[in-house]
Amino acid sequence: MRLNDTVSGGLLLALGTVLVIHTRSFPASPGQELGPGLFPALVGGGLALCGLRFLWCGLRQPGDPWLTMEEWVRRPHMVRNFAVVIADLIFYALVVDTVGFFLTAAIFLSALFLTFGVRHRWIPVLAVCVTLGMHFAFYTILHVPLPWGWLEGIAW
Amino acid sequence: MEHVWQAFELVFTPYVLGVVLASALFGLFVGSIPGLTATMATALLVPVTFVMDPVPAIACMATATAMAIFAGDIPGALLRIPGTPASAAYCDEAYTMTCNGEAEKVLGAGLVFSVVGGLFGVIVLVTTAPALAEVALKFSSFEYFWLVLLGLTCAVFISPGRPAKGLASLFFGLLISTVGFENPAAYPRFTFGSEQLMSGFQLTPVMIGMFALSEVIRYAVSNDTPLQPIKQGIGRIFQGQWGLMKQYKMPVLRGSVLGTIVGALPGTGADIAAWISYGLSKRFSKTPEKFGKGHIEGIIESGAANNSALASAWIPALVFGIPGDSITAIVIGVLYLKGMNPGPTIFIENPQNIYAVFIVFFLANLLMIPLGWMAIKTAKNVLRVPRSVLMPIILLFCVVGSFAINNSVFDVGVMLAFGLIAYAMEANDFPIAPTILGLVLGGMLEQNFVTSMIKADGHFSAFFARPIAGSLGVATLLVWFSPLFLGWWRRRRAAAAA
Repeated sequence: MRLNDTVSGGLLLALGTVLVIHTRSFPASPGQELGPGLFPALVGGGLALCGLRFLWCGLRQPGDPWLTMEEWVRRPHMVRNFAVVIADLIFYALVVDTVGFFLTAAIFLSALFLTFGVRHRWIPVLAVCVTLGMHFAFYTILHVPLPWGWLEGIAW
Repeated sequence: MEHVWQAFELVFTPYVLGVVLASALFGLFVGSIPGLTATMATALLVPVTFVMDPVPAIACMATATAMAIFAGDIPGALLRIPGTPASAAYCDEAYTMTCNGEAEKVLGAGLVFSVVGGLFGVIVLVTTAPALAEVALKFSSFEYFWLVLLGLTCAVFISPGRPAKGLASLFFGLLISTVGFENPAAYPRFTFGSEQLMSGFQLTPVMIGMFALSEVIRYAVSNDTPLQPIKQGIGRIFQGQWGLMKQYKMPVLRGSVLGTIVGALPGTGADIAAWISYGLSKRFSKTPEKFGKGHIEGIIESGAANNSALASAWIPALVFGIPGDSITAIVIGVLYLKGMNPGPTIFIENPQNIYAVFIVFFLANLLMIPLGWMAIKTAKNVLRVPRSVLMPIILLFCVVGSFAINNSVFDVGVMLAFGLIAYAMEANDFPIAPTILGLVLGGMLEQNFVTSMIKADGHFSAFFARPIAGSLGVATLLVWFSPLFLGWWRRRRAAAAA
């Protein structure tokens, strides 16, 4: 998704302006002129100025479409790949604490291998081996407390 | 001298040497696979370094990146796909040489001159960093303020594309750095009531998202054509390299010096060093007409430049805490985690650790010769590993690595959000490096700005009152106004010509 200068300039200008207005609600530091709002307000001002610059460039090229979709958006299998990557990450974040690392990671990997076209007979082998390897590296060696979830009974 | 011996004792233990060897192999693998970059390797290594002492943790990153930058040359020569962006500048030239039957020569030169450039950068790092630290000890908040601002300014102006996009990207990074209560007034800013945001965004999930997840997304939405390495065998790669060294003394030196300078500038890394160096090589060559037809000169010069840039990027990182490139931005985060706060005092408080880092750099560059030779010999097999298998594994690594920072699923969400932001930014030609520098340096910039303003009692003229601060301030302003001046000069010249 490509935005033209007018749209990206408008968005930056809006973000910068909101920032400057929002920072005015920050309390002043006692006995100091420089409150916690000063630096973010300067950053907001900078963003707004960048926005103005893009708007200026954009308005001088009126023919430029506001939004140009990238090539892959017209290809169903690429849209599917993109959706699976994002959905897979959301799935992991939502269920890992309840279901546990082993099952979640195995499903997570299987979905991706399937989507990226790995041969079907290899998928279970790869998913199990990679999950075990990752668990060994992070849980056993690096002591990261990966959740056990449903498999709490066999936790080591 | 005592500290140097201590440093040797710290490095030459089976554990540290094992870490160096393992990370070298990891770096070579990541570098050889197109689509996996040296920065990504570093970001993925952060969670792994958690359980390590400071020296092996830093050794791990220094070795992996040095190897990855060299290994990026291999698929460039064999497939015409650069393994890392740092090899992109001379990839076509290298592939043309391979097609002309000179695969051994080009791969050998890539290896040998990577080592030469790398060692040059390390020597400069070892000699200048302690001397600079002596000077930096006298710095006050005024000097640091200008130094950080100059660094950020360079990052914007040197980043590819339009400076306005670099500037917007920098402001975005600075904005992210303001989240949380870690500011001079200790007031929770932009936390929206979230407890997790109280301490701001953690650098690691942001980095992993921006450098690794965005790459996986790019893979997911691109045509994956299986890699087809060339069929011809690779023979004796070191044959004739000494002759090349004697023939191209000046280009090697020029590439190493230029790479070192570019690397030390904040925000510019090995890839920009290689591009500039390749351009200069063609410009100063006695045979510029041979460039593009399979000529080794540019490859030698820019191959040396990208590896020398890698080491010199550590100079500002160690001495001032200002990263020279995206890789050292991650390293600075790790240094803080390990209690080795970067800055001039690190040379006084932890000299043995700093010397140990220097030794590791030499070791990594020397180790590159046998391991690089091995990597070239096995390249055809490594390149056969399908990316459809690698990318899901990397994505799981991203998830677990982000989780490992705080053992919280929230950071996985942060990684996802920043991965999407980075993808959208790159699709719209906004460079990523200024955002990362803004995020890393935002806190330092604000802290030094507020401290200086309080000291100066609100008078901005105090920012120019000390000699070094004044010079840095003038330099920063000159860089800011250079586009206006250049525009005016060009218009004047055009008017005169008309």
